[in-house]
Amino acid sequence: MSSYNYIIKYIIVGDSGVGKSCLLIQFTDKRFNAGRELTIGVEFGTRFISVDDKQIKLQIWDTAGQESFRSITQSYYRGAAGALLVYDISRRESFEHISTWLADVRRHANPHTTIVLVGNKSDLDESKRQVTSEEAERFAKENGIALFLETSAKSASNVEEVFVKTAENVYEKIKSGEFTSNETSGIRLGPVQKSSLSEETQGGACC
Amino acid sequence: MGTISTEDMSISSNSNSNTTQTSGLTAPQKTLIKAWWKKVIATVKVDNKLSLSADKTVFGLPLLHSIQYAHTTISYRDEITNTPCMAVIPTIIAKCGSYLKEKGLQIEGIFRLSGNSKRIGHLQSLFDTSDTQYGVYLNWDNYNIHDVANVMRRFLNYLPEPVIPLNYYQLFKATMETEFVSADVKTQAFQSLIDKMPLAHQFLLLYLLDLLSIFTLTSHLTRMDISCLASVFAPGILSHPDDALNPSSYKQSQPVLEFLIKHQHKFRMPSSGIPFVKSECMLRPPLQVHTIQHPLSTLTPSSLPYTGNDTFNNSIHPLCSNTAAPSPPSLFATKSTPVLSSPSAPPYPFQDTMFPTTTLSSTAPSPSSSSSTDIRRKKTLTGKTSASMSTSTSTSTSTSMSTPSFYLPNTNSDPRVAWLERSTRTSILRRERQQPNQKSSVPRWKSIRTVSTMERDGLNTPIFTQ
Repeated sequence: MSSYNYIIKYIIVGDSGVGKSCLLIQFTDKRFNAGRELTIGVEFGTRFISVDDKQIKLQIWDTAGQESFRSITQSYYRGAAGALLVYDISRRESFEHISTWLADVRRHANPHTTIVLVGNKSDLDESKRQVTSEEAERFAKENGIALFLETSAKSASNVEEVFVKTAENVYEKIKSGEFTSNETSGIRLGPVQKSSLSEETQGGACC
Repeated sequence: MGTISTEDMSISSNSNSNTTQTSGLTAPQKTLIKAWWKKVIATVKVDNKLSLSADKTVFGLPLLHSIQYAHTTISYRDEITNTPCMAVIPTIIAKCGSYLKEKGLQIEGIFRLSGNSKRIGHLQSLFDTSDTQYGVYLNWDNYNIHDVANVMRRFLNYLPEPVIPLNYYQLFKATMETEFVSADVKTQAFQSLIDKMPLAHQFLLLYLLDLLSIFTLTSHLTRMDISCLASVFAPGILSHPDDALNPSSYKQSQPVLEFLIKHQHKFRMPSSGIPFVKSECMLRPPLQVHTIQHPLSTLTPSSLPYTGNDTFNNSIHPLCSNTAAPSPPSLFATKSTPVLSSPSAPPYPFQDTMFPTTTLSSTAPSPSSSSSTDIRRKKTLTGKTSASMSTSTSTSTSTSMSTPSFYLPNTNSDPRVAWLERSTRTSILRRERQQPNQKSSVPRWKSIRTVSTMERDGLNTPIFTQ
C-alpha cells in the first residue's frame, strides 16, 4: 500500500522493560517475542491504518527506556503527533515514573500532541498487578491525558485499539485545525490528494 | 583475569573513622591496630593537603579525581607469583557490586529494569558525600535491587570520561573491527590497550568485566544475556560525547564490550601492583583531566610514610630479589612498564597499611590454570558467604590488609593464563570452608582477612596467630 493521505508520527516512551518494543512489534508484525534484546537509542516501525476512510501511515518511534539513552530519545520527541506513555501494571515504579515521562513529552513534543497512557502486561495474573486501572484512569484524568488503555503485547489485547484510537484523536485534531501539516506537528501529507487535502487542512486551520 | 573481588572497605579520606572497633581484641592487638591506623591517617593527611579544593563529590566528576577520596581497596591474586595485590575502585562500585553479586544474580531484568527514581536519587546523594563516607556503611534495607543496579550504572554514565577513556574509544572499536588470527590474539591486542589506560580506569574496567561475566552465567534466570548486559553498560564504559546522539555508535560499542566480557578471564590486572609504586602511572594518559594531579603522584617513594619491614617483605616473595626478570612480551610492552628500582622501595601507601605483625606463609598454593577459573567462579555463585553482607552489616571500620606487592612486573608470557583470583573475603572464607585440607593455603588466607571480618564471624581466636 503505497498511497496514503497522511503520515502521523508517534513516539513510545516509558521505563525500560515495560514492553514498548513488544507493543510496537505486536502492532506492526503481529508477533510477540519476550526474549527481546533491549532497545538501543531508538527503533522505528510503520504500519498503515485507515481512519474515517483516510489512509494513514503511522510512523512509530520506539525509544529506549534506559536512563543513559535519555538524551538520544528526547531528540526524537520533537514533532510527535502521538505519544504513548507505557508502564508495566506489575511494576509500580514504572507507573510512578509516568509523571516524569509526561513532563518530558510535554517539554519536548508539540503542545497539541495526543498523549495516551498505556498499562501493559494486562495478561499477567491479577496477583501480580501493582497498579489498578482505576488509579491509572484517575491519573490520566488529572493530568489531561486523553486516553487510557490496558494492553497486552503478549496476547495482543487492546494493542490495535491503542494505536488506532490515538490516530483517530490526531485525525480529529487535524480536522478541527488544531494540527496543521508540517514537520513540527508530526503530520505530513501523503502523495495522494496532496493538493486537495492540503487545502482542506489549511482551510481548517484558518477557522 | 580470573576473578576479582572483594570488598575490603577502607576509607582513606575520612579521619573520623579512626575509631576502629576492636572489641574482642587483646590490648596488644589494639595497640597494633591503632599504630597501624595512624599510618593510614598519616597517608590521609598527605592526601587532603594535596587534593583539590573542589567539592568532594563523586557523581559527574572524573574518576581520577573522585578515586582519591572515595575509594575502596580490593584485592586480587597474581596467579603467576600467587601474591595478593591490591587495587582501588570507587566505593560506590565496590559497595553496589558486592550487593549485586550477592542478591542480583537471579533477578529477572537486572540492570535493565528501573528502580524507584526517588530512592535512586536518595542513594545517589548518600554515595555522593563524605558525610556518609561515600556510602561505605550504607544499609540496603530500604532499597531494592534495581535501585542499587541503577545507581551504580548512573555513576558510570555520569563519568565525564567513560571507564574506557575517550582517547581509547576509537582504538577499542578499531581493534574490534580488525581481523585477528584468533580470539586470543585479539584479546592480547585489547590487553595492550588496557595496559596503557590510567591505572584507576584499568581497575574499574576489569572489576566491571568480572562482575558482568559473573552475570552472564545466570542469564537464563535474569534474561539478561551477554549482549543485553553489553548494551546496558556500553554508555558508561565505551562511549564518546561526539557519538552521544548517534544510536549506531552504541551498537558498535556493544560487540566490543561483549567481546571483553566474554574473554574477561584472559585479561589481567595491572602488573603485580608495581604501578602503585611508580604512581605517575596512575595518571597515565588522562585526556581531559591531565591537570588533575593525583596527590600521590607528587610523592617520591622515599617521602611516603613507609615504615614496613623490608627484610620481612623480601622474605615473602621469592621473586622480589629477582632483579633480572625477562622482558614482557612485546604486545604487553607498554610505554613505561615500570620496573621496581629497588626491592626495598616502599609500596603504595595503601599497601603500607599492612598489618605489622601479619606473617605470611611463603608456601604458595599450586598455580591455577585458566580452566580452573571458571570452576572457581561457579563456586562463587554457590558460596553464600558474602562480602556484601559484611558491607551492609559491618559497623566497624574495616581495613584491608595485604602483603605489599614487592616483586617485579608480571612476566607472563602466556596471556591466556588467567592470573587473577577471586581473593575476596568471600572467597577467602569459602576456600577455608571448602578446602579445609589445603593446609598450606590457610595461613595465607587468614593473614589477609580483615579485622571486621573476624569480628563479624565471631572468631575469638587471636588475629595474628598462624
